[in-house]
Amino acid sequence: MICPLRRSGVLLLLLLVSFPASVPAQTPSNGTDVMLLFTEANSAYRDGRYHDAACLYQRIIDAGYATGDLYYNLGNTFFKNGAVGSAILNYRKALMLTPRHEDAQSNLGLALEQTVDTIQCQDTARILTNVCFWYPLLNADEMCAVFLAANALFWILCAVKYWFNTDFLTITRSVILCMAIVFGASLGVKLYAVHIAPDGIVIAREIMVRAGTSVNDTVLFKLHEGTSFVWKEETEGWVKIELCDGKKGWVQKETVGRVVLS
Amino acid sequence: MRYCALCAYALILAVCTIAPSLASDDPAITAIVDRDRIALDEYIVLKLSVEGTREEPAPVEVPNFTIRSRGSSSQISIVNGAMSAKIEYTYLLYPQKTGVFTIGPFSLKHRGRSIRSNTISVTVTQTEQQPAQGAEIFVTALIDNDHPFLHQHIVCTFQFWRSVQVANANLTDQPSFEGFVSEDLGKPVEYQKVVNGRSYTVTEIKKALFPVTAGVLEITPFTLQCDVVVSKGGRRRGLLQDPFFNDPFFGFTETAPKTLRTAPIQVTVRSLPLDGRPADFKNLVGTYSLSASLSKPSVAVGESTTLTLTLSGTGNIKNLPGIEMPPVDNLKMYDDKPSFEQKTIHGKIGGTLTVKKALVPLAAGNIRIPPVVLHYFDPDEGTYKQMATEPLQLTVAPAAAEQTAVVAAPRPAASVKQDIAVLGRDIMPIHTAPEALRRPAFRLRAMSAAILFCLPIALFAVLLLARRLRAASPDDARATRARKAFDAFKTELRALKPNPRQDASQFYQRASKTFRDFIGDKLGIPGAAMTARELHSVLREAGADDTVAAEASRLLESFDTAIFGSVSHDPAAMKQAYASLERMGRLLDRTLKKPRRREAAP
Repeated sequence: MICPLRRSGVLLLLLLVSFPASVPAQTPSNGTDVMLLFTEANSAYRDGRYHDAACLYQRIIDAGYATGDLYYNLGNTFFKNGAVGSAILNYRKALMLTPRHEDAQSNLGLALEQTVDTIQCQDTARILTNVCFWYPLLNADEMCAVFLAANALFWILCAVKYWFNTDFLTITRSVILCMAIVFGASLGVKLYAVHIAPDGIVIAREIMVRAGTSVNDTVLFKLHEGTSFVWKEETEGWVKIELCDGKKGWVQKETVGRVVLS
Repeated sequence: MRYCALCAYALILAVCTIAPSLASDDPAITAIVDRDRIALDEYIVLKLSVEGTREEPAPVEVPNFTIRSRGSSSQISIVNGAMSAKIEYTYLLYPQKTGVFTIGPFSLKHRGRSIRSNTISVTVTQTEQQPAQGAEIFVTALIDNDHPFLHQHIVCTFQFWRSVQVANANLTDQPSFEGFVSEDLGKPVEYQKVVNGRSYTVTEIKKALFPVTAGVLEITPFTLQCDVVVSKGGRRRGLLQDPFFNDPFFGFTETAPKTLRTAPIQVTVRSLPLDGRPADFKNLVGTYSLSASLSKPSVAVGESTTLTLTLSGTGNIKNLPGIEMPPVDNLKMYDDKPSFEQKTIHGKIGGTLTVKKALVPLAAGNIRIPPVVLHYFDPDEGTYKQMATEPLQLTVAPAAAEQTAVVAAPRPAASVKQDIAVLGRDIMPIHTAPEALRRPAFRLRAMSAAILFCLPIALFAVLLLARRLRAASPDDARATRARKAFDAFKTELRALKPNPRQDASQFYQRASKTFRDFIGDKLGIPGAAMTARELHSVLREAGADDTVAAEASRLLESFDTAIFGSVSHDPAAMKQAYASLERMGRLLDRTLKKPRRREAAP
């Protein structure tokens, strides 16, 4: 039996180990080639060749240029092609990198309007998001930067105490410490959500959610394109999912997409 | 109590006197009927509501109906401080022959002018069904057309007849209407009917059906369960014969459960004829009319006007997705979401479909909007029909001239506000600038994040260690002692604070020691055995001016005098000594900033 303290230590270690995943390998490709591909993809999009445009944008992303704008453009190509689920998946990736991307937020809203399923989610997550207003506004890197800055400032103020020990400095130090704790916790939650329990999106038109990892298992319920869920675990081509209203089940992996950056 | 009665009386008086005067501002007369389709042996309940006046309507006369008055009732209501009076006159109308008749309008004279009510169209049919001879309770189901065309509106009527008292009536099983699209046709109605001299209470439920499959379809039976109330043993109850006592609650009656089932109904649905079927026919079956109008017949280039197409009638209008229009040169069209208002017209489901299109002209001149054509199938005549709107003319002024005119024209006093009409929805465009390939300026790796996290902690630890090491050296020990001298002095001073019960000798002893320790700590010398004279010279040597040194020396001397002399217990003097000590401590802390050099120490 693992004691809670040791378990939280393991979790922290996992978070630290998984953190590099948020930083993709840097540009293995020639910059001029990428620029050419990008121009070609834009032309294909303008000409209505959305499938070609999607392939080209994906190639650029695979070449290490995983930017919010590229995921956004890729989402647009899927949307224009009628693949609302894949569009939502890529808008979510764009917002993961650039959370304040207004066009991606707008297009995601429009795409979500076209989804079929209505799930009655618990309000806890929405309330938490409203209270912790910074959480959806900052990506993991930015949140980490704020946390590190607050941490550094706290220790600097601890050092300054030996020369100037005033009440103002004591209060400031306490405020900075609270800030460091809050942003550290937010960073932990974000890294957990990104790397350990990421969201998934249904990309097929309609999928059967089954009680087990076989096509012979009982169909528990159906989901439609664009519906969001939590990606719990995967095994042998099957993914265990959980909806925000608590419903769980297994779906075939090729019918869903994971909101993680490639 | 008397006060309450007076208030109530005043309120009633106010209502009676003010109500007619308030209500008389906007009088109205409204006619409503309980049913608009009856058989020849039934009757209609007509209610005339008169609001805003106490005048009576003119005598009611309805051709082809025998009229019986059932009295009137009045009602005064106060809602949000607004008072309204309403008088309702009830009449029973017995039809004299079959046909479609218009009831009303009814008139009312008010202050010399005549106010007229609405009119109501009612249909009187032949007596539909006679109940089985002698049956006390039974159910029927019938349809108005057993050979309809595909998508034609038919009505299925379920009736529950009873001439005895029943309880807990419940329609347990309704037909599935397989092969039909079904909709409720109004709310269930209840009425009285006399057949063969027996009075029945009839509850009627109507369903509108639209067959969607050709061939022979069957409407499965309706099943109703109820408890029939019967007298116990048929004994006479004398005065308790009143129906009120028929409730099982009183124990004079008992209930017998009964299940009633209608017969299944066969419907033969005919396919729509292929001959003459228009290419753009959209399975619209019924009776319809179509009209078109423009919100503004003249606009400038780039401005929008709204074309409203209104399709109304009875039938499967609800299933029509919209009304399409052919493209028009120099005119952009944006479809709005169609709106549908469902109505029951002469006992059939229908309504009005309103389709709005925003038209934006691209060039100046006169634009002819061609007729909008729609085809439908008329089931009564069994033929396809075409309906078309009138062609419309849109006058388009040049945009520049319009702008000039607007600039030249005086600004209106108040502009008319309008809601922004959403003409279309689409996603934002792709980002094509090369910046789309630019990676975020700030990216952290796990290693650098870990280093940045640990670095300030490590630096702080180094600082702490350095301070510990420095504190261990003698010079720094003296400097530390000097720096902390005033803090230690303040702590001692707080403990020394005089109180009336304190021993004077003890107070002065502690005051003297605190002062000596402070000087010793501040200057890095042993201060416990310092005399007043030595203090003066030490302070002078440390840089204090003569006045301060002399004052400090005197203070220490006064403490010594109090300790060794015979000083009486005087709280005021102790308080003054305490204040002097505190002031001198602050003064010396400011004056003696640096400790004496080590070699100066004895």
